[in-house]
Amino acid sequence: MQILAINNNGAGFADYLDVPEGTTVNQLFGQQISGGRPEDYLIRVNRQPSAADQLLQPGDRVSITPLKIEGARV
Amino acid sequence: MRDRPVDWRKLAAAIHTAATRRPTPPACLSLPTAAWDVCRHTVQRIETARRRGWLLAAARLERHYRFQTRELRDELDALAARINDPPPPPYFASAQEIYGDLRALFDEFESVECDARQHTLSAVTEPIELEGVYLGPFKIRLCWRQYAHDSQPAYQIIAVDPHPAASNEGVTHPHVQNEALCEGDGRGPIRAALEQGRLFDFFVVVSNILRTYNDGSPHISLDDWYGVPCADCGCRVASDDRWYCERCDESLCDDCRISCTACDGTFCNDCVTRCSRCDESYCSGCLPVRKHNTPFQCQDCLDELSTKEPSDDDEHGKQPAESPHAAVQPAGVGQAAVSA
Repeated sequence: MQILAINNNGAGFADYLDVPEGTTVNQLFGQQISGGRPEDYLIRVNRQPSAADQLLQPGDRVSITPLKIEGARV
Repeated sequence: MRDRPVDWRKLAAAIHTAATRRPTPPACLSLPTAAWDVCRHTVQRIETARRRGWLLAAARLERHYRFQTRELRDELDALAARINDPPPPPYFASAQEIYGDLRALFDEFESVECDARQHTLSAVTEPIELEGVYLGPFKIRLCWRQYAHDSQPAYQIIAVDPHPAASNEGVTHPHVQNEALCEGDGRGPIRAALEQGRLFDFFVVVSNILRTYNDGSPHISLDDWYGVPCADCGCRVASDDRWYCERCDESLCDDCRISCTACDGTFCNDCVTRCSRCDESYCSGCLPVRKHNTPFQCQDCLDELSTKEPSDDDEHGKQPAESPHAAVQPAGVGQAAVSA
């Protein structure tokens, strides 16, 4: 099934991905953010907070945004 | 429940139209003329070498020619691919998706505003406090028409209830100066979100930056946010602008620091003595020796007084009129009768 995956970590990107049926939010997170802890990120499905074991549906919009993003003096 | 203004769908459509009006860069259709010229030049050298009987040189040039023609063929193949099978356009949010973002902003932020005349969209964060320093809420104001046409996103960070740093009113947040955010690690996600029309992600990333303190690179650190009081006048001064008294180590502002005229050291008002004659300041280390309870006069003034011409009264045996500034050195030593 196809979902829209948005990764606001690093350089940031958004693209459509094909994921197997039955993929959970947590599994997608593990594929997108290697070595990251889910509690350090804001994970939204269709712009709403989601549970880690929530099953993804076709057409879902999943965004992953770090909770802490450091600004810096130029 | 917050009241949602009407025409947000129209706004979403307008934002989408403005953003997609940006000209997309065309695929490169230029012929590989540089590679062609290299091949042609090599052919000329081969013909020259053969004409002059330089068979080894001609053979070497022919090997080069085979490699160069292969490169030319590869460039022509790439050109054909670009013409026949152009890459898919990058992702950009539809008007419906932008509308979904706008609706979601109301649930994410304290308030959301739209100024149709200024073409701005604003979201206000909750009051932000970092490491015990209260900074207040911030309005993230995006000019959605400008950002769509400029490479630089046009947004400001406006302190709604400003609590700026004591030493700089323009710094309302450790990473905000004069309403400009230092994006740091957020630069990439912010750019990507705006280029792809993901307004919800833009506002969330910016607000997360505002909620995060990077003590390695602030405009003004939170430790210095309230400054340090000057020991003499009490005004708040930042650590970068602070002076220290070299005798008592108290903090001083630039206006209150006093330089010793002799050694040029920095001192507070309590640690210098002023010459009663010229009013210059001297630290205790540079004070000339003086009698107890006599007004202080600096060495320059003493020297000046000692070389001064005696007055007419002195010549007639009268005592000179007492100066308002009594000399440090005694007018005369005690005398004892000497018998022959």
